[in-house]
Amino acid sequence: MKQTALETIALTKQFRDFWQRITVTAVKEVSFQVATGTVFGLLGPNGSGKTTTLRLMTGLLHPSSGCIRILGDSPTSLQTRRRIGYLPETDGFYEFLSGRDNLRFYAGLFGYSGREASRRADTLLDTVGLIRDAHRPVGEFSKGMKRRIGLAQALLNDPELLILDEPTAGLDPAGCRQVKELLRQRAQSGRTVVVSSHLLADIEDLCESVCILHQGRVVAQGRLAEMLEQREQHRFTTGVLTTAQCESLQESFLSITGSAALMDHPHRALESYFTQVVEQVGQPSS
Amino acid sequence: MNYLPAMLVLIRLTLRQTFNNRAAWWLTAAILAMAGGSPFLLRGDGTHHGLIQLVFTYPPAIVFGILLAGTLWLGASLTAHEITTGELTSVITKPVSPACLWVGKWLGMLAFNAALLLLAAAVYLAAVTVINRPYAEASPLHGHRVFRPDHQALFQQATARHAALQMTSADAAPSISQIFTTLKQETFRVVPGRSFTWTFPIPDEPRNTAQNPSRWSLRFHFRCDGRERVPLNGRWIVKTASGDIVEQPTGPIQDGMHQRSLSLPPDLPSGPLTLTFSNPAESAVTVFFDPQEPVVLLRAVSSFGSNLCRTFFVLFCFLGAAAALALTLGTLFSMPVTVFTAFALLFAITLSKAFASLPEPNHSHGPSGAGTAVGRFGEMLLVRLDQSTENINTLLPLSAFANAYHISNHQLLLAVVILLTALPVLLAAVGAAQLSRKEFF
Amino acid sequence: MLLIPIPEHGRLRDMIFLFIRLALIHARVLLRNPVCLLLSLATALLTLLLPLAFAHTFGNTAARLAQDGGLAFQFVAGIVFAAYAACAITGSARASGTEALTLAKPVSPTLLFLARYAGIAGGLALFCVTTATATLLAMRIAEAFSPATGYCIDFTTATIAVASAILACLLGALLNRFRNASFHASVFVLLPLLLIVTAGSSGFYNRLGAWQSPPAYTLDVAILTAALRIGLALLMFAALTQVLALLLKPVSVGAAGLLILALGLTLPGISPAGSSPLRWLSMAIVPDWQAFWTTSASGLVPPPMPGALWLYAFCYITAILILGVHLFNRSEHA
Repeated sequence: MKQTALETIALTKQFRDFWQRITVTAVKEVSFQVATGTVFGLLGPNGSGKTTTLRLMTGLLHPSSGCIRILGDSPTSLQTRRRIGYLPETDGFYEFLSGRDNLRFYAGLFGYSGREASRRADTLLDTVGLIRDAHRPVGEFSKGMKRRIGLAQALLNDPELLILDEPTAGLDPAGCRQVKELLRQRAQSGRTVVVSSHLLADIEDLCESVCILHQGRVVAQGRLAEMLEQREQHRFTTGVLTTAQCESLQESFLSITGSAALMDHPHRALESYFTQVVEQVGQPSS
Repeated sequence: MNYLPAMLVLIRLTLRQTFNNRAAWWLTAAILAMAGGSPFLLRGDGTHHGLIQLVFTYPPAIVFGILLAGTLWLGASLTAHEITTGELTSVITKPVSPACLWVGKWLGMLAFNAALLLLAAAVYLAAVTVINRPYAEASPLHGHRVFRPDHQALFQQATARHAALQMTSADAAPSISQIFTTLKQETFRVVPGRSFTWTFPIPDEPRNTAQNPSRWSLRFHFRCDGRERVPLNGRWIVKTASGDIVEQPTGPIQDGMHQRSLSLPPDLPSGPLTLTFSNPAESAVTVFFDPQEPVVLLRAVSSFGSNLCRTFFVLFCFLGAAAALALTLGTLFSMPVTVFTAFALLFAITLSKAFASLPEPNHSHGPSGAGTAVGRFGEMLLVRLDQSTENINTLLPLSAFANAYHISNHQLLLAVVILLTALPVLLAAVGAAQLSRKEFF
Repeated sequence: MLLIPIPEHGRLRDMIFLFIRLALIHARVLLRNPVCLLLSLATALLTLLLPLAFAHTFGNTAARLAQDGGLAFQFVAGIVFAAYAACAITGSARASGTEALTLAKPVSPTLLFLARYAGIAGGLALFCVTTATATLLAMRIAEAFSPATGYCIDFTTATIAVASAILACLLGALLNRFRNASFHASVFVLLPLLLIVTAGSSGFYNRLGAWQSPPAYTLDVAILTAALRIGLALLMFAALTQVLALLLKPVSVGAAGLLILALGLTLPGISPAGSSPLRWLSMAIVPDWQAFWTTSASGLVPPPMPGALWLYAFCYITAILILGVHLFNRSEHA
């Protein structure tokens, strides 16, 4: 059985005004566990409490009640912060610094020496595809580029637990695919990833287990495969069939089940089609 | 020592941030213009002494004012602005304690202030040297140790009067300090035909040697009230312990506030020195000596450069305290509110110096102005404000520097202990605690 | 191109309502801003406490010093207020996207720009009422001689006036607690009201706090006309900084505003005296602040001067606003 990387127990967060009156309860009695080496997704519509939950996990907000254990420790402890990586929803970079200098600065906060900080910064800039823009001030970056550099800063310490708030927001499809591939690789190498998004396709592609929030409450959680499985229906997948073979199969289904089976051609995902087209156009003509 | 690399990174970032700020460059330009340019633009009363007095007074004060404003602005932007823009959110999720974060930023601000102050001091020193060059032989610039006259007898008189008033008066008697000031004001008023004598105890310690001759002088602060507009032609008479007498006419002095100096022989013997001022009977002028500082005996103990360094070091300590204040307020309020609150606090502390004069009977109003309980309560609050900020105001070396008084080691130590250690530690504790409990939305 | 579109018949009323609505929303933004409240509160308190800090009167009466001090505080703090308000309203509307959102609706940029100025002017007017009343009270507080009381400072009025500022804050807090009203806006409005009440009640007691009936007022209300003229100068500065805020970043607006202020104070001294064309030209480009300040000597102003000042201020503000409207119409709203 896998170990637990992150656990929340009856987590509640209430925001209060100056007079300590409750203005909103953003998270109510949220409990879930994230196993080590998995990709966990937090899903929910706008205002459902996803970002608040992630900020509670990183110690940026303090719970009103309930508790969080991250890698067996409190989220505010420095030891925990040494072992996690966090990508906030909004980018908070020093805009006058270049991408490389920003990464070197954050690496310095982990205590890496100048040389080690530079090495890590360059490796990650290459990984997120920004090595050519390494010396440009972050203030000049587009939203997608800032997202990429944000991901790079979250990976600087090779964290055991990576917490990402809307990591694919503002990224082009190729970027999305790249990020998703990167996160999958991390999970395969035994690292844990927690992702929050309202983009269902991203979560479906990435996550093994999810938690769906609505108005601050958990409305569903579990392994994604089990949640999406429709046990009352079956699907067969074959290679290409002739028209005669199709008709014969329909007749067989009708005689066995008493009703006609639905038959059509499968669709590719738009993301895969888009990526293929863009890659084709991008290739130099011979 | 795990926190040290992170702190160094923070100091470096803070320095880059401040120097990258366009406001910092305007600040630098303004400081250099004030330190190097303004001494040449000042016009005195036509005397070298008057010009030097102005050059000592205004440029350092303006440089300090500009740097103080810049420090408050930049300090506030390092916390309040970074919290608003989200820059601090990414930093706080890294393994850096709030205290380390605060101290890193504060040290960065100190380094920035040190760089600007050093630059300003160098430029100012050069400007003053150029201005004083034609007179350097006759009146070299020094920092002076100050000896004040002995007013023990007056103080005893005030104590006795206070005791008598307490016995007889049903109302609350004025304080000993108030009575003392009243007495000084009454006593230091020299009408025509009268004279007044001060006695200075000269300690054994400041002896001159052949290599290092002592430079002694007397300086007077007084106001002339000549209703007939006739200039005063009084006389200063100085008598040393060995019986030597220096006698000098005051020269014609018109109405208004005045400061005059009198050079003394370098080999003053230890023991009492008396100074007598006589106002001739034919004079139509009454002389009021400043009750706080009527006359001081000065001995040159340090070079101008050394005194300048000491002054700027105390200013540096003040800026350190201001940076600490701005950083901590920045964790509590938004950027504009932080800047406003910091300025208002410093302004209130400075203004409290003016309130110090409130109970003094020598000014335009007396302490009996408060007729009702409500009024007395208001007056009491103002006096309390003055008392609570007196130490900070006393530490500010600008007035002493303008008077060419030596900034002593004791003052330096006090500045380091209060402004660079105690206040920042207190503010760091508040700032770090606030950063720990702060929620980043 | 016409800068101010002439509305069709029947649309004028809608346009006026829209203008009022926009001006009110901008005034509300300003009133809810903590810095504006802090400026107003600090200026009022400083003015009220000023007479207690006089060490020497330099041959003037203490009331005269309190008057000049109060008007000086109104001018200096008003300049900060106007510059900050222009930057806060223009800058925040741009940063938050409110400006683009408003202009995407059937609102002409001209109307928005002018309504924004009207909002700032409203906030500034309230600020001036606060500071002018504080000056009026400071003059009463300042040391004066009367046969009944001798030389004395009016500590009773000083304490009641300071207490009224504290009361405004307490009432603002209560309104916020029980009515959910904005604390800053409530105090901003309550402060001048309570100061006016304090001034009104000051006739019922003498300088030593003894009750007197019928009430006898010793307030020099003529000073309000001087405060009004300073208010005019501030309105000119507000128009200037609002135009500058379209072109520059906040720090630069502050620096440019300071430069214009300094130029306006020094140019009259170096430009030829009298009514030479050069003098008029300099006054047309940089406001002649001194013209507004000399009028603080109430009673010494020659009769045609206030009228000429109003005309000068009106022409200057109109010209600056036309320039601003032109720039705003040409600017891109990202």
